[in-house]
Amino acid sequence: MTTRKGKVSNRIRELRTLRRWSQGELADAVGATRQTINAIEQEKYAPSLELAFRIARSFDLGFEEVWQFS
Amino acid sequence: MTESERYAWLSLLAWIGIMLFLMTRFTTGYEIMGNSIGFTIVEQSAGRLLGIYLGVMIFAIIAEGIIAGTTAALGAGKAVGKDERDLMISRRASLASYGFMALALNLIVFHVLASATYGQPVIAGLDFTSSTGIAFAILFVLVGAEVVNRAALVWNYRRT
Repeated sequence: MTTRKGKVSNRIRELRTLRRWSQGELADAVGATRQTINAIEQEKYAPSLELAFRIARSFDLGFEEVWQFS
Repeated sequence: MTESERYAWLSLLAWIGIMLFLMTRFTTGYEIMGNSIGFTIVEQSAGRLLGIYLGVMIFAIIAEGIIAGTTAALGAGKAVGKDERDLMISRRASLASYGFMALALNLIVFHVLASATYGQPVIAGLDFTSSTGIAFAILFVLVGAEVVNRAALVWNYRRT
């Protein structure tokens, strides 16, 4: 079995801007702090699977429509 | 700035203050603003050692209580005070603190054993075999671990 290095990226900023949500509004919706949403958007922090799912659901989208692994 | 990050900054300042207090009470070498600080341990009486120990503990408890209370009050209106990122940063800080403690204790043990082997302190002025030396070493490690913990919190909040 081989392991490959990759990078998790996301479309949170784009989706949030489309819906005109602030970072604080998204943070309250998913139970995180505004600073955590900011860190995730900047890809400085990779969230847990649970928070990643909650973020995708808050946009009414599937997991892979928000998160990409390349 | 989250409640946890604000706490980390204020607590870091408090623990640096406690460390400076400890150093000025136990060591000598350089004069800074009327206080002596350096790499030579100054022998103290048992009563004075107890006074310094109680002073450090009481100040630490009061300072931490005030800082925790103030930061909690400032963040009272927020829907989420702490989340998984705060917990992750807290775990990293605890690991850094443990690393410091393990390293410092190993260096102290090595210094004591090496000094006993050679019949004199390996680093002149640092004698950890007296009551003052033991008290200073233990308090230095305890306070130093808290400083490292808060510094690691601040560092991780800045870069994560």
